[in-house]
Amino acid sequence: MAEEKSQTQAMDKLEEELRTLFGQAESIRQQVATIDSTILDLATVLETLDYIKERGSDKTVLVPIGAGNFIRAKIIDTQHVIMGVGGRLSIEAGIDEAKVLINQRIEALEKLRLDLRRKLEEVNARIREILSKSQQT
Amino acid sequence: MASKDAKAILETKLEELEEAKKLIESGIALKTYLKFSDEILIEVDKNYALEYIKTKIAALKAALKQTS
Repeated sequence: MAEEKSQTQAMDKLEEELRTLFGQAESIRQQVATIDSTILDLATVLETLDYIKERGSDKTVLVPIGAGNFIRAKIIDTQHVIMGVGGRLSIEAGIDEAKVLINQRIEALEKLRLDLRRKLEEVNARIREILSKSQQT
Repeated sequence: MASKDAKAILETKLEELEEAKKLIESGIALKTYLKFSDEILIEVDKNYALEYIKTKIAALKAALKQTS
């Protein structure tokens, strides 16, 4: 009887841990998805800056004004970009300096993504361990 | 867990602002702009920008102290 009670308590504890781990895994997956999306955005920015610097002079661009509508505008400066740097602040920087900063940001995000994937693997390993244990009892 | 997330967000914002401060002080930032409403940026003096950063950093540090 006492043994049964102790087994039930152990199972309850494992179930609770499992729920927590599933939650953690889902949270990590969402963070990785956000990072992937940000890296993709930044890669597009780099491509855009390269194009503007090499071929953007006097080019006409379509500027969105909402609800799928655009107006035409001309690029008047192919050497500088205004970058958001946090809070409500933006700075104007040369395109080459801006590309260095963006690449640094991409590297930092890639490192973070790697760390999160390792953490996810640890969490998944623990989930597999618990599931295997609960199948044995 | 919620408090841990809140702390991480505040720390990230603090790091961003400290990086922004370095960019302005190093001269990489040729001009500085502040967002005054959705998508409207207005050029501000670099000293104004640095003061803005200083105020935000102080507020973030105070908020971080409260979460720990």
